[in-house]
Amino acid sequence: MRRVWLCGLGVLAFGLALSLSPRARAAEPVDFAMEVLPLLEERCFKCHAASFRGRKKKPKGGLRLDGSGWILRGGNGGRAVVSRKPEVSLLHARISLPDSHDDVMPPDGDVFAKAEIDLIERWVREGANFGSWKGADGPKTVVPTKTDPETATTPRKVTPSIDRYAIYRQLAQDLKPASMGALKALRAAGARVTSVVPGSPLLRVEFMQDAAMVTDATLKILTPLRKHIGMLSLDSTKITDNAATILGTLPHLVRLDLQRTKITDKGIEALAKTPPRHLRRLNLYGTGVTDQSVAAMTRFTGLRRVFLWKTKVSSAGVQQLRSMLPQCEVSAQRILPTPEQPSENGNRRRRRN
Amino acid sequence: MRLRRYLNGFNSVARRDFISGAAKGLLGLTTVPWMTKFAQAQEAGKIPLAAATARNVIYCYMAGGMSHLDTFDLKPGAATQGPMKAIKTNADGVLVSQHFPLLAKHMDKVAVINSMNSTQGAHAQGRYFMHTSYQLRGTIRHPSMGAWLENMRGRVNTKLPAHVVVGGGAQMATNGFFDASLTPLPVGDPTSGLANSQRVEHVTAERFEHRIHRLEDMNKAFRDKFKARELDDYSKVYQEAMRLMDSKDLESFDIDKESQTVRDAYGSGRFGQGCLLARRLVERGVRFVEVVSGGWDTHSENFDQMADLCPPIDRGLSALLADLDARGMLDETLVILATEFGRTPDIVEDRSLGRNHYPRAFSCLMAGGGIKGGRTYGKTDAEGREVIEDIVRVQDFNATMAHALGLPLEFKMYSPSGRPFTVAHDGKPVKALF
Ligand code: HEC
Repeated sequence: MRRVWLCGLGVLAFGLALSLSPRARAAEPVDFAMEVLPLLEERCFKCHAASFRGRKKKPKGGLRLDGSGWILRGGNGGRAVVSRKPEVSLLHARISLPDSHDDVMPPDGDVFAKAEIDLIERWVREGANFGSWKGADGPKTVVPTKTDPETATTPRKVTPSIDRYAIYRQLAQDLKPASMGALKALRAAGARVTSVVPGSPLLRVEFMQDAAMVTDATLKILTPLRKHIGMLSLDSTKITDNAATILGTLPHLVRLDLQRTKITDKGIEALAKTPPRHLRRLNLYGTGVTDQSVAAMTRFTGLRRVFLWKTKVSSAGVQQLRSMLPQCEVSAQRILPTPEQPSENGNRRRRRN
Repeated sequence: MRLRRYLNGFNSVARRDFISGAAKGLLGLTTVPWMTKFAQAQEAGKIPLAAATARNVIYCYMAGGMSHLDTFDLKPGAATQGPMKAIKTNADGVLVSQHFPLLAKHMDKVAVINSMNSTQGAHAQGRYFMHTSYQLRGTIRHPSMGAWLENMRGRVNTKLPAHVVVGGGAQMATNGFFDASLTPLPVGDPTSGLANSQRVEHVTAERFEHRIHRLEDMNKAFRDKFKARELDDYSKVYQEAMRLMDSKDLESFDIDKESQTVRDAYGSGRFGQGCLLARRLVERGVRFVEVVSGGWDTHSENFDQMADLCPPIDRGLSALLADLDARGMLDETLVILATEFGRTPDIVEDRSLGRNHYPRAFSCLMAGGGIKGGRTYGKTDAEGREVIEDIVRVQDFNATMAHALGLPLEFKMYSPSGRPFTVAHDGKPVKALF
């Protein structure tokens, strides 16, 4: 009896906890790079880009969709997108045709689902804003840049497994353990502090649960531990370009996570003036950095991995980074599967799963 | 209320387990200090931990026994293959079945283990073994990997549970003999359970307050009557639930926060949405998320059923791998696809081409978290009957997972009755996979 009651209380609390989840999702504008681009990449680039899977292509109908400049210029039939006017935007018009129509795009494979057409329509209606995305250089440039479609089907080299902690062992060699007082202060500021490798004096510092409270000022507490910081995550914190002043003083920084912060080219350039010598991994996804940062980043010669998805770095910039830092693996895209089509196989037994 | 309807779908024992699990899961939020005793001991240098290549796990579990020949151990041309076709992938020499065209583009990230071997040929026993590395016994409950991980390594985000199970009715992931606070938090249905509950619309803040107060009154009366010690803990559960509701941490459970395109990309079914929820949770510091997909017990109509069972996995897993990779999370997140056993190479014709249980040889996947992808490990014979190379026993598979997580394989933890147990029993990690 008692047990039943307790359980009831638990489940009631649980149910309430679940049902009150905040759901009010503001009608956010469509994010081109995140929502529309993957569709075009997957379904259109094959015929409407300067190159596809590393092979040069002649864009069909004179239309390139792999750069914002090209999309705006349009193909043989004129502009592909007219801001706020989906009804006269060829791109929208050609994907909205019925499956049986001769002119429907893509001509091969599955036509777009209603939700996808609606999404693109909404994007055009909202002003055909490309956000941070630029893609291949636009029509005006004399030498068209080679775009790098980097489709998910490009086989990636299997890198031999390396001891990813060797560097930490090396850096920790002459390091004494951090003082308890400094560690305490760091934890009191909401940081999660662990050893990069069990037993190592080098630290991994991250602000996971209180990220939103962390500002440039917070970072001052890192100073007494500057030699001890091997990994630092500022993911989703409120830091700005000014953080670079402190980040530049961390001599043993190997991994730096700045994703989803307000860091810009200015911050990266400032950091590049005194680049942490051992920096191997830099995460900038979801920041506003542009090709300007690419130039600065080439000074981080030890880099082995960079994340640039959802930034303003163009594919030419990615290409440049790859050629300047050939040892560095650059992740710049996320190619999700295109949404499923309603099954034409309606009579097949559907199982509940 | 949807949750009630969901719960009513269980038989009464399962329901009671689920409910007390839910309570304990929430309880865990209040009573677990940010470091467990084990982690404190470790911090004090008493227990050596190995360097980890992974810190989180997304464990996709195919309940029922996934046919190896029809998924990741293809034998083109063999009589045992039946009508199933193999397709090439972006990794040289790695084949998958025709139902995994999307995953085929991500196999460069995945290691396929084709030499899995279990000793348990029944569902309950097989699942238990897969989850705990020990055989099901009447006298003791062994902890599963998520509980070991939390116990030994503590939480990453102290405001969220360390261990969540999505979509699994059966109690497979468990705290075993560990403290009840290490019980995983069950989430019934990633979509209707959390995000779309009708309650949201019609429970106004006022009514909610009212309800809470009534609960408090009841609670007080009850407390006065029975002065049990654990009672305080349970009222903490509910206070914690309230605290959680104000908190933005609860947003972690709300996949409505993801754009529709992303949700569609993962697939609209439970498995895909479960994978999306898993990514959200891991991103916010939940360490171990199990996503369960049921229905793999294809005794009859194996080939027709596979055509329905595989596509959601194909889609969900591909989206998960691409998404984790772009965010820089894949190298620290071990993605697993596991099942209790494979299915008979011999096709049972009088059951419209079915396949029966087959623990002798089956396939599992590992990706991310330091695992070297783009290849297969281990081999079965030409018809998929016997492991002929690099056998990986269930406990070896779990030892490999523990090794990636940096958990000490030799370290003994004692049950209340004083018997010693280790994280993967007598398993040896497959170091060649890293
Ligand atoms: C298999 C190749 C192929 C694919 C894939 C393809 N197209 Fe086309 N597209 C063509 C060809 C060929 C033409 C020129 C003939 C025509 O206008 O039908 C064309 C023309 C167009 C035009 C008109 C260009 C103009 O200005 O006259 C638009 C707009 C267009 N495509 C959009 C798309 C979109 C959007 C997609 C992706 C959903 C797509 N296409 C995918 C082959 C393709």
